[in-house]
Amino acid sequence: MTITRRQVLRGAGATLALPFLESLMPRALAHRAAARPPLRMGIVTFGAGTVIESWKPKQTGPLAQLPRILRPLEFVKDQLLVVSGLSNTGRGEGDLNGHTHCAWTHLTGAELVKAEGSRVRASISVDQAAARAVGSETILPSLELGTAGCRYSFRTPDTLLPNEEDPRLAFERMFRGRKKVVPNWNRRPITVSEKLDRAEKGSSDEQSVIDAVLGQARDVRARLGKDDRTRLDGYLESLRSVERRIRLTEIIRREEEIDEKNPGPSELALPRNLPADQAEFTKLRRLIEQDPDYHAQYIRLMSDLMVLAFQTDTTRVCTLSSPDDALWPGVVTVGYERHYHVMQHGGNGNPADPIAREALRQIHTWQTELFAEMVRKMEGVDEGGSTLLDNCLLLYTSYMANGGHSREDCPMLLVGRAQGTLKTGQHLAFPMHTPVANLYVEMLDRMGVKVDSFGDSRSSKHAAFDGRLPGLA
Amino acid sequence: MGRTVGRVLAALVVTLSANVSSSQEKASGRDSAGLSAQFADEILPILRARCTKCHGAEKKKGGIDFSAVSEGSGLLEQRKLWKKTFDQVDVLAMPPEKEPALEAAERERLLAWSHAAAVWVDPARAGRRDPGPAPLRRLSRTEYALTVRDLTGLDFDASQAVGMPEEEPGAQAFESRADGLTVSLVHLEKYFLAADQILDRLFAGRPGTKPAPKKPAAEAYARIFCSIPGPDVSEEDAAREILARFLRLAYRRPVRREDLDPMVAVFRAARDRRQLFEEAVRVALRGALVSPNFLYRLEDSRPAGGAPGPHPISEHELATRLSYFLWSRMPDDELLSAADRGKLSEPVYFEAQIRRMLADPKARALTQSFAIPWTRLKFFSRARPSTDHFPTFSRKLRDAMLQEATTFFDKLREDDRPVLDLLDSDYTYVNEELAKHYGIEGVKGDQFRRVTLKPEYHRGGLLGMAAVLAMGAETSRTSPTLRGRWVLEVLFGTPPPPPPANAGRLKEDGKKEKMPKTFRERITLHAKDPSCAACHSRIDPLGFGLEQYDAIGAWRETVGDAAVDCSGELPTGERFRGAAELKGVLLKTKDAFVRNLVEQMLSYALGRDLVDDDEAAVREAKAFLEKHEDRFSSLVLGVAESLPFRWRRTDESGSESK
Repeated sequence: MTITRRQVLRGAGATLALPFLESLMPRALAHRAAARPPLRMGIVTFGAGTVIESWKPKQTGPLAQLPRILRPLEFVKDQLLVVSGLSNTGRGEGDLNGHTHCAWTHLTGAELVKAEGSRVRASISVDQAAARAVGSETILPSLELGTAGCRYSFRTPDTLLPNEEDPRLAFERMFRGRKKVVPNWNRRPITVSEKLDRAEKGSSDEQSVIDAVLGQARDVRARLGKDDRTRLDGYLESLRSVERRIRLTEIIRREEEIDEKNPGPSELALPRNLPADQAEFTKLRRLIEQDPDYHAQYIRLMSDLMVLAFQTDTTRVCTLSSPDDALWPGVVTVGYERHYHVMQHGGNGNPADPIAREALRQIHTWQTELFAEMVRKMEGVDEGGSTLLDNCLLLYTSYMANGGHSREDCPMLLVGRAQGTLKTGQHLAFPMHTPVANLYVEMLDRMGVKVDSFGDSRSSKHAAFDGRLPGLA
Repeated sequence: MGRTVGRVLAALVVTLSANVSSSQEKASGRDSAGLSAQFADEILPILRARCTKCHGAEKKKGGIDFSAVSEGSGLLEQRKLWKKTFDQVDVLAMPPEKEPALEAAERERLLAWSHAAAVWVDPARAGRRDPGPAPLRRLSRTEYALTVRDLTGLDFDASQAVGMPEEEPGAQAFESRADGLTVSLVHLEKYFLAADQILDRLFAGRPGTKPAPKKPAAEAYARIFCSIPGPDVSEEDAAREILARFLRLAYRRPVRREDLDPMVAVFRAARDRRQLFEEAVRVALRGALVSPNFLYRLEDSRPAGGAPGPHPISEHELATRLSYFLWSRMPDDELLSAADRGKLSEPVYFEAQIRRMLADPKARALTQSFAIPWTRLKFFSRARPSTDHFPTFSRKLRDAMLQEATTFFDKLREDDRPVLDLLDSDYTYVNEELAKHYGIEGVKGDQFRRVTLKPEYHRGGLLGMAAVLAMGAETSRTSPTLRGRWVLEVLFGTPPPPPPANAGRLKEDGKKEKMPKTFRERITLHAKDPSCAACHSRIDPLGFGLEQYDAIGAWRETVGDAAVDCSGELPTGERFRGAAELKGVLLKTKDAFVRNLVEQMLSYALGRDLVDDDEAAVREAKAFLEKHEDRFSSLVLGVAESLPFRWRRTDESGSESK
């Protein structure tokens, strides 16, 4: 896959509509075009797959009555796009278990995932591919929220990104030294990064520290062997990002100062119940695994942060990993108690335990209810003629297809029209085993990232549709 | 004791300088040409006839593919493959039950050959043993927090305060593995944030601050600001002195001019921006705290001025390796000054330092960073038994269970006990809560104390610990499979492969009319499925032997109305009944246990998987351990004395110019 940042122009809609020559016009001119908020990519991954017969509509085409697990989203039915039949068939090698194999193919669609001891290898994930392109415009290139036994975001084929688990720390990271301002998209340009090239390098304490440390890092690197240089590259690259961000923050701060006097129309969507301090989060973290109410509270908090991050343009790429089965409380449902993990296997065994399967339906429906709350909140954020939901490319999914570690017919639900680039209100069924990666190509395309292939979109033996998904728009 | 280590070291030096390939060959029993020829004549036909159907180019079951191996080059470099082959055939797990067994003679040949191949040491390498790779390691989350504590003298967990990401070590590895220690932008953000918080706390100790500084903060501040500008000392000289002292500690080695100058420049630039002197120093200290020299354990890949090739690491590198190995934190003054004086690598002194370090409470890091991950007890909080089924499984009892294990490990080190105590022991540590759980009388209070075990307590060793047993359980019942797997994986380092996707699960209770069989019958039924039997016939019996412990590790004689069936039979035909007999069986294979423990600890110390070149080091460390009554200290000494720990190889590309 090759992406160049320069390929990103504006919101996807504009890019798609532009004729060839026009699309090459200088960027400075490009954003004098009609103002419009940027397109954001949000991915919410829940644990342990779904119960497919209660997720996938029986008919393709326009959505009629929603299956039970999707029913909490009835109120935005016309903005739903259920995509079925997609599968991850990437091979696994080395010390993988069912969960890691699924988790590492989940957002990467990788052809091969590998673990040798602690060495991890897959390919870049869809969120990070998007962040490489649009991440240069925001305070945070991407934000990985949540807590889960597995991680899904690959910054590079061998770097798995950690999640920000603590909502308070995530909040502080977003607004450290920065005012909380709702951007006025009627005024604010959505690309500011080109100003960076013209910005003078400041002479701040911050800058001098980074200069000194960068110098040291280069000296260190020169003395290292080949493998170790690769190990240090993550550090060097991150340090350069920090440096870049110092200057970018300065530019964004000026934009925010202007917007502060005449902000966008929506109220700040501040999170509810942010833990006051570390101790409070530590307690909450423990209770996530013990009590479904706290579990829900945590998911709500993190969802709130995603909404706020998008609303304030802190980032345009955000993932939320909701706690997976290993972090689930023992569950009492349909009259008996089982550990959620045991229920997942029982409900997906051969033959399946019907009681466990019913319990899973209830749990997944409950999860969708929580997700629906976030969608409702996004719908309520007015960005000046369009809602935040209109300006989102939102994927609701799981890292497995079901609790039996399957990757066949993964639950894939797009929510929101992504600035008119998706034809929603329908169920699109693709032949079983069509690569999930095809969907990622489509998603990246809408984020303004043109790729010829992604993951196994062309190399899978089930490759189809020229690596794309017809009918999405 | 000092002399023995000296001898090991002397032997090592001889091994390295003289060509002793013949003794190495003797140890492995065969030469490579012989092994290779034998492979072509005797082994390949067996593999082709009996194994490649499932373990060939097409199926690669369990990731094993014999079709790719052939005689000649590379054959003997697949140590892991041959070890696995040996293990599986040895316990009769392979061929699986649905297939005819190997003929006795075939089996013998395959076992003898795969064993020889698994322990083979390349004679060409024996004369110039290679210490293997020494990958660059960042300070892990734990190491960072402890190092910051030592560096500042502040009681402050910087990793926790900024939410430093948990390391992703993979299920089977330690946190401080090089491969898991990647860095992303999030890490850098956190390092900057942590640096600010550390310095905030330090500056809270500045004289004249309101409210008046507390004593520890004031002392910490005074230690850092060891020089004050005045009539005889220029500001720059004072800053230089402060920074020189700080960098020596932070970088864990003597400070070079090229370390100091850029930091002094940072100070000067800040001072020019009209910061106060202290504030300007603070800016430079911030730089040191995010420097790669601090955050990474850097080693020179070439000996100072020497020719390329394997070489002993420098004194300061050794101090650092040792300190992170035993303490998970930076070297203390004594280690650093020993390294300054070039004394640390002297055999007698080296051993004395290790003994001093093991006696220090900081060595509890070996419990927290080595033993707890090794035994998977770091996942104990996720043990599944529910209080609805086991009302006594309270937080207090859980805490006590875990503390039994940590105390046991701590004491194993403090009292320098034989490591075989981990397999079985006549003592353990309990408080009142746990004693009640175990049915041990006369223990009052929350304090943990040593109790001498009687047979009727049914405890001793790791397998008698409730924490270990409770991890091998589901919400309402025991899981002999999880327990059996734990024995194979943790105690012997021979994990069974993971179950295939969509493998059947046991039916739970609660639907009694459909499932009239006993639990034992159900599990046995599952294991009869030929696709499951190959592994389960090896895993489950070990767990059956522990069936007299319930899901939270309490002793039981009956389940429901029936007596507990705690009999097990291994594929080898070996039978046992109950935990005591099971431990007896395990003790017979203590050799495999000890080898695994040595491998685990060496791997932990090196921060990487072991490679073929480490085989000799494992053998030497194991022999050393056995020679010294299996004492814990000799396990540590053997590893610390080993070639891969003391030496490193030259990385050719390291010699490139900038």
